[in-house]
Amino acid sequence: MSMARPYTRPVPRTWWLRKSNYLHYMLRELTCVLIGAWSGWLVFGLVALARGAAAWQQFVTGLTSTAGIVFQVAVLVGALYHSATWFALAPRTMPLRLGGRRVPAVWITLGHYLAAALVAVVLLFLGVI
Amino acid sequence: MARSHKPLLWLPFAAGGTIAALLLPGLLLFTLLASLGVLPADALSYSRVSALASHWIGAVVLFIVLTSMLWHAAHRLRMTIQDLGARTPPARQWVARTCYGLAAVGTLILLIALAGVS
Repeated sequence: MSMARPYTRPVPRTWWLRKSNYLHYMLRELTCVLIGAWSGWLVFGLVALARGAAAWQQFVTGLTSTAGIVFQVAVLVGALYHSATWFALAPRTMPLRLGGRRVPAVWITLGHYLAAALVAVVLLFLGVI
Repeated sequence: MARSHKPLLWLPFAAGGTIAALLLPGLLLFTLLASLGVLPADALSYSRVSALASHWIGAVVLFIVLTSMLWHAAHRLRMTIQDLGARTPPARQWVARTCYGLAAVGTLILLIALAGVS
């Protein structure tokens, strides 16, 4: 084994500003910050739930505050961008064969959109009943 | 050939990405409309949400959904910070420990919270 240090090509930290493709890639990857923050916030909500009705009510009040609404709108925008890019890639990450034939990419992507829409409808229905 | 432990990471990454993509737009729409008072007032009531979280099926679903999204975000954030310039081995190790450490702490708190919901 060679003891020489492997050569790493210098890359400027701002490489992702050079092309719009790179910028879109970076924005897509950074949606994970919103997804992680929202998941952490929901864990915090379950802690409040475990502490009792008063703590839970405080958590809900936080959601309904202006900051809570702004946070949720930001997470929704990030989530939509994540969904759109994830579904666009789905035919390549999860190729599907039915009866020995490749399912066309458009169908796979559309199927994911339909599933996401169905989830939204079911959730909203559960909120209304 | 050296064995890789990467597949162990890819599963929660892919599962978390898919769950987030399918679930989050609807969930955020739900919480936003509930927060704005468009949905009935008891949509996020203590009795409804605790009934969901205290049932074992609800608890298992919440655990799978939240942990997979936490670990998905942790893995993606780790890779993004590396892309943004954390390239030396010590920096990479620190970034990995911090990201996965946060996800692990979140998982632990989630378990304790779910066990405490009645």
